[in-house]
Amino acid sequence: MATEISQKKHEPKWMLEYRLACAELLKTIPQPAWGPDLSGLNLDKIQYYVDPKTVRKATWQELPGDVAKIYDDLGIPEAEQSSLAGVGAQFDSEVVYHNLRETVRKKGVIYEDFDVAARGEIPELSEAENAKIANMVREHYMQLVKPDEHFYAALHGAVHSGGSFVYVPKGVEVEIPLQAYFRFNAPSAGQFEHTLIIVDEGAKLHFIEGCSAPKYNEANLHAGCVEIYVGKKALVRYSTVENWSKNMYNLNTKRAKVEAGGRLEWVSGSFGSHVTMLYPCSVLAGKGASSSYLGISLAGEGQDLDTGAKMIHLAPQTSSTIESKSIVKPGGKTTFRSLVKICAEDCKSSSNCDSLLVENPVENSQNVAKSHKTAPENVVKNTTLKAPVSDTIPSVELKGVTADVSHEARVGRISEEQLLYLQSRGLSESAARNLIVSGFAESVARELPLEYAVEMNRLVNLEIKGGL
Amino acid sequence: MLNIKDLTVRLAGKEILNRLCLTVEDGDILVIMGPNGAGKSTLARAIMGLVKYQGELRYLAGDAHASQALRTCRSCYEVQRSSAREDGPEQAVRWVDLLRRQDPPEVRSRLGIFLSFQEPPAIPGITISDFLRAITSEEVDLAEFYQNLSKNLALVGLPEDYADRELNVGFSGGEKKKLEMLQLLMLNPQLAVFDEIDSGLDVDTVRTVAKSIKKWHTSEKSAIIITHNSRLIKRLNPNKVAILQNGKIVKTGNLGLALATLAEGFNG
Repeated sequence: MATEISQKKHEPKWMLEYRLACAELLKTIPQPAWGPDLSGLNLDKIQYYVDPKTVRKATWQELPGDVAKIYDDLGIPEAEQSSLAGVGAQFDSEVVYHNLRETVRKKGVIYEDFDVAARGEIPELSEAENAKIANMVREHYMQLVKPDEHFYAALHGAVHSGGSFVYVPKGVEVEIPLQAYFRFNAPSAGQFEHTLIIVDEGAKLHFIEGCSAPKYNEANLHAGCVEIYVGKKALVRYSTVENWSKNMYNLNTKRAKVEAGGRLEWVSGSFGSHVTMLYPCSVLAGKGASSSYLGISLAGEGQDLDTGAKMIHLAPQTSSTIESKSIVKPGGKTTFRSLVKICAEDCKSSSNCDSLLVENPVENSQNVAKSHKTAPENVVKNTTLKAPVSDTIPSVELKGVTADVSHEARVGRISEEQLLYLQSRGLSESAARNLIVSGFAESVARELPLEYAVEMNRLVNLEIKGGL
Repeated sequence: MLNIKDLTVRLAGKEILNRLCLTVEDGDILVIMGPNGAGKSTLARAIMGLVKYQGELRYLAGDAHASQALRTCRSCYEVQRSSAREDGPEQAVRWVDLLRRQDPPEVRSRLGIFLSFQEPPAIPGITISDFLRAITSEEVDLAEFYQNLSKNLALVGLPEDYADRELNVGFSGGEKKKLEMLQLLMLNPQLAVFDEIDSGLDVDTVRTVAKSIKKWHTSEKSAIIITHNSRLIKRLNPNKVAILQNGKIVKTGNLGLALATLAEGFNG
């Protein structure tokens, strides 16, 4: 399989060798022994490479009609016009669209399909520049996420396809975000895109990643990998809004290395998938580096979302914050898992973790006068689902140093008094629930780019309504 | 405006209200007094539809509210044709039997009933201006809405920047009650029930509360005020006073009854 993908892509030799080494490694690494149940994922049934049957285009009009329509429905071309500096769109295993604004390109910013960058075939660049980029890819590829770390990292190394490469030169501030959009369309498909971002000293970047897929009965697998190098005093924000369909196993690995005075901000919204295991990690390698993680997850029936963050403080005076919110509906489960590891003096870390359990409306409001029209439906619908579950598993390791570390966790419910209060002001029970849930999510929603915040509110409302 | 007949409420097997009868006319300011546990808050919550009850609770919605309810929640409201023709103009039936319908609180709110909560809950992440925008009529344009909001904030003595504060989050008791008054002014209901609006308030806040109620009140609107605060009672100058004891209205009168009760207690 690895050889086949590599040949199809005309990859450099080192990449093929890397794939083969990863494939060998796979035989020796067991599946994760902790976290959500992955037994529904049959790796023999996954299609590791799905060709979208189109070569990459630079305008949306050139794409085949059905592919173009999907992106159109998702509003990507419209968003590109109004608020993005560059867009890459991956359809199944290949990047089908790529474009970067001329003004940004002129500053020396490179945003390309990962495979094209690895081959050194970026059309706008000279041979020498391409050789430099190809070398940069080779030097940084899978250096932060090592293939021997876990099964899905090794699998990624063997079969990865597509993804993004971004380079922002020293001192360049990319004012408007770059975006990559990942779409799965084939049943039983696996998507293994690789995202490599290198932001040089004093530079600034906001990168947005969006994901979606239609629903099939067979399990899908997403085992992508994101590696971000944040230079000295550079600032990078990486935002993700993930709305995979409910048959997806989303086992993604994201890691960043932050040099002195640099800062990396993870913003993450997890709404879809059947199972998610995702713990973005920041390695604070230089003095005074900092990182934050702001995440929200929404789990409904049959969803097990296991998310969190890792902050590794290797250098002195580094700081990190983790803020996590989860909304859990009946039949859903969320787990927050964090690791804060401090190996240097004078470091600070705080985490804050809030869960909102959205329970069956009937149990909540037995005493309320209800119009007889809605009552019977509620009774029938809410008999089978299990109560929502939310766990918090924080872990702190101090390597012979003292540090200022705090962790707070809370689990709350929508109280009957809140609902009655809002209903007394003229809101229907479902509108009241939506308002309370939107309020709970607000601190994360306001950090997302506007169109995503709107999308998130729509998803949250859609999900909550679906449960009534 | 409101006719209550044989209102009975049982909570956790205990009878809280026992065949209570009460009539409220247009323009009434009615003060209800009674010992702890007499059922005053339960009466307020029954009128708002927050507890289940038996008996009769009839409410006459004014034209404005009846037609608004007709527009916004057609399914919960009875409609009749004002002419005999099938396509004649529609009119809402104004008298609503709230018991038979067991209308949920949101319908009562749209019909013009308001309850000022004794302890309003906090709703984190939702700002006061967003909340008020969500509960007030969509027909008011945004500029007019913000104009009203800023005028009414000043009236209830809350600083302008409170519009961006989260609903009741970290509010003192006095601020919460001022926010209830702000909602009263923004929603402009026809019948408002104030449950222990004065509890824990300082003299200045009591004055603000009285001022807000008087600002809102007209001869077409009625107020039911549950209180034992002599300052508030004197400022509001109620035309009716009722004593609620053991789940029933045991005595009715005018301001004199309130003053006598304040002086001598419920068994005086």
